[in-house]
Amino acid sequence: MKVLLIEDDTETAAYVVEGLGAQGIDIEHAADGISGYAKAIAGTYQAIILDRLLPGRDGLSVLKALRGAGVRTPVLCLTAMDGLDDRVEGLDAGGDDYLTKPFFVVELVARVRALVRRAAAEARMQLRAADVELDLIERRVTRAGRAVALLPQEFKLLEYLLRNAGSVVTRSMLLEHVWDIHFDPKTSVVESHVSRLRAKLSRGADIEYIRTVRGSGYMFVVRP
Amino acid sequence: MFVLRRFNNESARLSALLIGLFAASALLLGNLVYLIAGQAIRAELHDFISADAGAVSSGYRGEGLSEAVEVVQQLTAAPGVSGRYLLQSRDGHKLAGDLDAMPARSGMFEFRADGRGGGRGVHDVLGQGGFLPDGTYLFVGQNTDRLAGTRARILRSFGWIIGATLILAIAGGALLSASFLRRIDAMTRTCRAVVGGQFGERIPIAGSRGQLDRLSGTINEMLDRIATLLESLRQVSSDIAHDLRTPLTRLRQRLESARGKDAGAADYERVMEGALADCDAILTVFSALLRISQIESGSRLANFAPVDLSGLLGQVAELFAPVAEDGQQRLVSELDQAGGSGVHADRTLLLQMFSNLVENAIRHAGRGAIIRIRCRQHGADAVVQIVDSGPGIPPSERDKVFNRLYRLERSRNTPGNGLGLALVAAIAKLHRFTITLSDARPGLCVSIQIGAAGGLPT
Repeated sequence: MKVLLIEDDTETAAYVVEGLGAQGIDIEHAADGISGYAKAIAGTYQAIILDRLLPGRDGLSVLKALRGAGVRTPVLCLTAMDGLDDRVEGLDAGGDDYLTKPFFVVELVARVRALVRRAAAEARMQLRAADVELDLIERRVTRAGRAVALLPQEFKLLEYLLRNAGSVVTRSMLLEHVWDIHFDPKTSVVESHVSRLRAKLSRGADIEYIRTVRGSGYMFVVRP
Repeated sequence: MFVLRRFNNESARLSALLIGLFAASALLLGNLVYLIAGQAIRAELHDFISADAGAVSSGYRGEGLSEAVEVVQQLTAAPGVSGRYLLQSRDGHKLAGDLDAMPARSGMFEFRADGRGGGRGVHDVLGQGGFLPDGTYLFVGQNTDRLAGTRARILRSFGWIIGATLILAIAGGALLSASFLRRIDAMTRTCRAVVGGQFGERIPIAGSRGQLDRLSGTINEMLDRIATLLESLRQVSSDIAHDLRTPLTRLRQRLESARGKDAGAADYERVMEGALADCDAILTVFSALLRISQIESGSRLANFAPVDLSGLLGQVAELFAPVAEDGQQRLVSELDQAGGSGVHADRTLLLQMFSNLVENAIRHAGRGAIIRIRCRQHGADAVVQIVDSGPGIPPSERDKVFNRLYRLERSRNTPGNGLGLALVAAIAKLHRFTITLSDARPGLCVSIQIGAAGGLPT
């Protein structure tokens, strides 16, 4: 996987390059908007990580220009902590996801992987991992051929986990994509919902489908 | 200096323009009156002339030339009249009248003649000349002194009027401009004082409800707003300084103690875990404080849109039901479907506000508690209530729980940073919702009253 990072802050850039490199992700770095745009137009990347505040040309205008030029590569925007409206602006400009600074590298890796996978499997209406199948058209879930009754929220949660089966999804990714919540709840909302889904999936079988990854999040296990 | 300033400001320029316009219109009016009065007097003179000429002609027609001579003599002899007469034979001899013989000229004309009886200077005479049937020349006229006198009087009075007008207008303009200048100076002084750091200064309002008062009022409101923002900024800075010092100190101590001792990998692991947790806590406080101050600054108003309140509360209930169940609590939603449909608000912020309130109930109500989310329509208003059956909040503490970083004594050892309810208060204030805390006997009842217009800023 090859990813482009457009980020002017050398410390953040070094952190990201090292972190993604350690995960086996091939990463190229551009330190300003102009060279970043040139690389993004010329190169073939599976994803672009774009800082909002850049010298030369700011992130939002780079993003708009890329989309205007027909570059469909998924883009993850890095936004400042106090920018409540940055998320909406970034998504409006054609961004696919966002992450608020400061962030942890595990979170970034998980999101970049999810973006790349989503770009590849956007159109799939039947999701399958291990012996769990989810049909988006009939809104039906089966395990080992037997139907599992899920509440709408649990269905959405499972759908997101299945789309990212085999890789880690973080707590905040789930909050954002399943419940559309963009703040940090003080209670164990995600944990409670995941444990309910787990119980329903594993009923009558001692199989761990959803694994807790300590300090990071959850993973739907492809081969439990 | 003062005089110079008089001409150097808007109001003086405006006064000068008005004075000019006024003087011009007075001049125009004077001219009109002058012309009209002149014409009226002239018409009157014409009437006199034709009456006199008629009298002489009818005398001639009745009894011949001698009678005409007599009529002219009578007219001439009448005291205190301004008529001028001449009856002159065909060969140019004066037969009667007070004018000297002159070349016969018919029709209406004006000429200059000596005064009646040869005295009292020269007069302009307007009159009509003509011939009687036997060729005798008759001139009947009037001194035009009256006309000239009236005209002179009109000119004089208008001269005075214009003079007085100019004096009054200049004095009035100067007074007006002085009072205008005084108020502008007051505004300038106030603004300068604010620039100089005296943020409490306000422009005095005269109470006249005029444009200047309105401008002053608006500037004062702007200054109030700036003062509020400054205060909130100051508050945030001091909150950050105060609240972040403790966890930062703890983090430092943790790292320092790890460096000091001869620790193994497991110890380092533990210290790292603790340090990461400390950092997370610090970052959480940071973003919560920033979020509150951003909400308080009012910049979110742009994101307001109609929100389905019942639907949103249903989502909150669905989200937290499993969490409540895990704590052996029950989350019950009693939602009136029509309740608060189409409230004008920021959906993301409302979601956070109700989530914070429900989470607060879950965390503080204790095991086995029942938490109810209610939404009812009360007339034009919607009322949302989050009611729990926990220990509640003592009445004396109810106002303080919305302050930043305030925590009840008994909840100091539960996790939390004292910013959840401050965020709720900020969101409610932005939307102009009213929050009241009351006793649910037992427990806490948080009521949020949402006006008919919702958070529509008025």
